Amino acid sequence: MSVRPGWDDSTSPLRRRALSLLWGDRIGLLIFLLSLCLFGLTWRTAFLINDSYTIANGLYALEHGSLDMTTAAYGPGLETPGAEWYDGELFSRNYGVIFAALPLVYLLRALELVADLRIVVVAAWCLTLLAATLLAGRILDRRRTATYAGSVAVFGLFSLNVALATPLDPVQHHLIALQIVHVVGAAFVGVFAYRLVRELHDRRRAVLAAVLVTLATPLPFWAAVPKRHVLTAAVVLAVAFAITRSRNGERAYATESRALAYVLVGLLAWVHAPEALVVLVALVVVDVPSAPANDARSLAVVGGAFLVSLVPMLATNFALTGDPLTVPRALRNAPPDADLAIDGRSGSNPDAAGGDTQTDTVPEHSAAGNESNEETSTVTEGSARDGREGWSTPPILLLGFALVESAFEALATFGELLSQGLSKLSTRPDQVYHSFVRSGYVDRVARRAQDAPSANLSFLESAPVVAGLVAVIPAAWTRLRAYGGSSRLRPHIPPVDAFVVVFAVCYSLVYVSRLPVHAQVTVRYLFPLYPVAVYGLVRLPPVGAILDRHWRTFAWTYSAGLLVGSQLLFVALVLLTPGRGEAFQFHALLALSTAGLVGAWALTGRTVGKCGQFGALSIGFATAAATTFLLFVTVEYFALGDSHALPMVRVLAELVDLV
Amino acid sequence: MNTERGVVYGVIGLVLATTLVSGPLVGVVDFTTAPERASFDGGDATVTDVSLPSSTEITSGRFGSGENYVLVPDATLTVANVTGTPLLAYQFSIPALGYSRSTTHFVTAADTGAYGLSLERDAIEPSRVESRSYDGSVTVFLRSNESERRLAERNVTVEVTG
Repeated sequence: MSVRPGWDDSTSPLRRRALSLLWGDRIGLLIFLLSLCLFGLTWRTAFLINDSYTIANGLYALEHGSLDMTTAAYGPGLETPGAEWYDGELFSRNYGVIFAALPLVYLLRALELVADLRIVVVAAWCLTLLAATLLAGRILDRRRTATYAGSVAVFGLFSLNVALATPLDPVQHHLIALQIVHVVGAAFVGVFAYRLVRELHDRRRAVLAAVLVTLATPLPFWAAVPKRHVLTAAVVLAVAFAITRSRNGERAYATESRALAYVLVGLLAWVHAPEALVVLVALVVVDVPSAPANDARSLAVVGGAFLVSLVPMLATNFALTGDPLTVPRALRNAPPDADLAIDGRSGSNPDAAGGDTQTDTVPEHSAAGNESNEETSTVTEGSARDGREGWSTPPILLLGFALVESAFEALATFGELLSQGLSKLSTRPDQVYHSFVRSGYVDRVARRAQDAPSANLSFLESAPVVAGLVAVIPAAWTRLRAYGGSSRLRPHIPPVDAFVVVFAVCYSLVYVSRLPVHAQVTVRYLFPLYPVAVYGLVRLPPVGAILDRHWRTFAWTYSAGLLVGSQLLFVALVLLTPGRGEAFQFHALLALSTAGLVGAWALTGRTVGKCGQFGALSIGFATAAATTFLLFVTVEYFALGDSHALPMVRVLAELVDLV
Repeated sequence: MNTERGVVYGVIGLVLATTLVSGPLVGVVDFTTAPERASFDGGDATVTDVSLPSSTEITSGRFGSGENYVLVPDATLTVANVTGTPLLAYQFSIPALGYSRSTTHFVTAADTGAYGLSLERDAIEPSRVESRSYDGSVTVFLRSNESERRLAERNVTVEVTG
């Protein structure tokens, strides 16, 4: 079977360039379209987390022409987690996504004039699926089959969904617009996993990396949740890709790629400055020493592009507070973000006392929603800002000084967070263990979680394939023996790997002192580490070798595990009649057992014969365990009042009643 | 080649046409019908043979979930002479813990005969459960046209096990 990943000759050069910039080749575009279809299946048009109210209200305010929020269009009120008072006005957060979503709100309003929004959602999903099928037909050189099969399938699915359709809640435009922005961002996680691995390995491994990122991690669960996590993940992978591309100065667009990495970080800062800072630190530490050239010209291009990319954030800050450097949730003002703030608020939630007295009519999403009070900032504007009061109209020079000063302050806070993370590792390794390996019952989490103390999985329980990372031990051992331990021939570490490792270490240390907390479901604060871990996994020689050699075993095990395993699991859960916490822990134990298989194989590091096949089998099971959990959690545990965007999924959710 | 193209454009056209037809601009058909939510709009029923559980349980969660669960067996009763949609409620409470939970069922003529009321497994914070047993009560209410009637009530012992 021949594979044709290149664009058609009939595609115009301009269009081809635009397509290549975003998706690389046709396979990248296919991954994008299929990801969109998958996230359409898990999409629920409801609020999962309280923090999203803040962003939706911010978007509502922006649509009505102001940055400060005065009307609580969504949620219990305006003071939801992340909202900040400044000078008597209440501001939202993540303004980058709010601005990105604004055109979509207008689009939705326009579409609503001519069509029923629910049918629009169904039609968009069906047409995306049709496009994906046709594209797959071209790539695999099976145009005829794909055209007919795809058309028939899409026609059937469209009819089915229209037949089952119910009206969409009319007031939710802002939420839906935000969700679309995040879904598109999430689809690029798979695309950049593919493009990044494609730079370093063959196509098959790159495709498998995209498959693992999408199906073996909680990506589909978070895709449609208006939270920054998936966007940070997409940016990290895109930056890693840009680093790989830009290391060879002879290559076309090398400097541009390098600049693009900084531009993406600058834009991420508009969404979430502290996380952008972590990416920036890892990027600068690796990029500057390893760049093909650091002459004045390329530094000017890169630095200039970065400064320009910061303009949206600075302009928003200026509009908000009259000072481009004062963010309501500014890094300089103290802890970089309420999310990251470290304080002594470990006391019990004042609301917790009444938690169990509710009746069945309480909407389900409050279970996760109420928990995120955590993110309410305790940081007040103030001391740090006072010093700047005199500069009511700062000249350029002062602005430059202020930029440098604020950069140092941010770095100091960052360093502090890192050291707090390190001390947490040494003082409370048990809590780190709860976040990364086995969740179980965590008293500290349970005290704040009002009715779903155990609805939190650990990192490994959410993505059991990550256990394969222990293959680093046999891989390193093999290398060490090959080099004979001679330090003169120290193996060369590619810059992109260095970036990924530095980022992963800094990012974990920054957040680890906060964890475990409630309302995480799958340790969402650490979400960007999932794609990074999958990247590391497919890069390891033993894992790469079995994926190359035994990918069929992997594919078959995964399919069987998903199709048969999920049904067996369903029967088991019906018989066990668990509460939601118990169901979560059941999934957790199942995932850990598959992680055990993966880990056991990875420790041997053997890739030939039965052992290699076993490795592929274990990775297939681990991936299936993760996908099955995602299926159950989106259809049943967090169905959010059966608010699924696609009518057929909603009907499935209505039929299933487990917890 | 042309057939292929025709099929694809046919499907796309159909999808777009259906979408447009659904909209307020054309407004020929409404594909999205809101599901009929059962609502209390009066009615009455004769309920007999109410049987309530004699004991309930607080048990520790399985699979390492840690939290405790409140288990209440089903209540059974017989429904007859249904008019409209009266409402049946099943309530369980442990006054000492300030714990109360209830389910409501809309009853229609189709439900005539034996009927079961159930409360789902409900998680409760382990730190709140300090005694070996508690006094609780289970109650069944019927809300009909005029009033809310307490059909049956029973004091039960809540055993803390596991």
